[in-house]
Amino acid sequence: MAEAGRSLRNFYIVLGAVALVGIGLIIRAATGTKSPLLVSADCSGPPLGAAVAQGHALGPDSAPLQVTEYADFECPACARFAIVTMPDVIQRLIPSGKLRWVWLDYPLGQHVNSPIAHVAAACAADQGRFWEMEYALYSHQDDWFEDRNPDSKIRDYAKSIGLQADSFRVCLTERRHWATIQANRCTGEKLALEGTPTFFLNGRLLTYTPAFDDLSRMVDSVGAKAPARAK
Amino acid sequence: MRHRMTAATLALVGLLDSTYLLLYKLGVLGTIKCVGSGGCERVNLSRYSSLLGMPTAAYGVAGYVILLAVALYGLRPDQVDRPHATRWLARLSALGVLFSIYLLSLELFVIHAVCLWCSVSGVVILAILVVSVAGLARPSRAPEP
Repeated sequence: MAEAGRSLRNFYIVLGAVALVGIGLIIRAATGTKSPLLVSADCSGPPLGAAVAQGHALGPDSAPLQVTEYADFECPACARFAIVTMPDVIQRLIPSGKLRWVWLDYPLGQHVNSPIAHVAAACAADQGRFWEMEYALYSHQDDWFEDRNPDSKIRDYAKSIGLQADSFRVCLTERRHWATIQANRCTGEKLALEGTPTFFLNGRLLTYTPAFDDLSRMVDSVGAKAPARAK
Repeated sequence: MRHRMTAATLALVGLLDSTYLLLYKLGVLGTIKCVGSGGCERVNLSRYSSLLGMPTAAYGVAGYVILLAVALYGLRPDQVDRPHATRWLARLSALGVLFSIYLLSLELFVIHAVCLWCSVSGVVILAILVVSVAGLARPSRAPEP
């Protein structure tokens, strides 16, 4: 009987030790990681959850010009373009009906907070506010890109652009749309992009970041001669 | 008694494993440590990582909590010589094994990726079943009521 009691005591000590080690490892995993999600460089296999690449578009599908932009939310050049050029594109060129803009995720592996920002933008798109969130993320880029836990700042941006807070939080927490983001990234991977932002005009690579004037000239020239859309 | 101790230890390992997967799914853990190229991430971000509106890992957490409780209950001095706890361990772990087979078949044939931590859970639940059945095969020292 005494032996059984000793054996039981030893068992509880072992069980407690296993619990402590396990909890310690989980706490370490929870506090030791900085990136909310990992960008997978492997685009050779089937997409996550059979996701299909799907960009965020502005302008009619029938527009003769289509600009496809690949961007990363931590990329400073992408931020400059989004803050300086894109508002004019949205206000002055998209209403002409001659230009369609397609924005595709291209989170870079070295940018640890970029993935969660891409998820946030996709979650904002669920509520029809992708472009507002894109602008908010880029205009506050310096505030969140080095943050150890950027989620709360991102939730503040969501609130400031009028998103329904609960459904946004659930979407962000569940990392919804990450599979689509990875699928979007893989379309860029297949095009062997060398960096961000990268633009394609009707399927042809632009080797520079277009200024508003460049885009405006392209749109103006469409009236006389509509270029064929390859993409 | 020994088989219940083993079952309790295994249930605790399964509970920790499921908790890790659940915390990843809920976004508490940033990344998931895995072998291979993204199998754990692929599985845990697939649409099969939720079942009836709940993360699949939450069912694992609940299941292992119950198994651990049953195994510890069976170690109480008044239960040590009774077979009930072991029977319940066998029944519950058999259900767990069936659920694990379903999840593994999804990984292999639908998602086309294998998640290491989900496989650990499958091995643990199978081990609990084996230990419980072995415990049932041993003659009970107490008469059944």
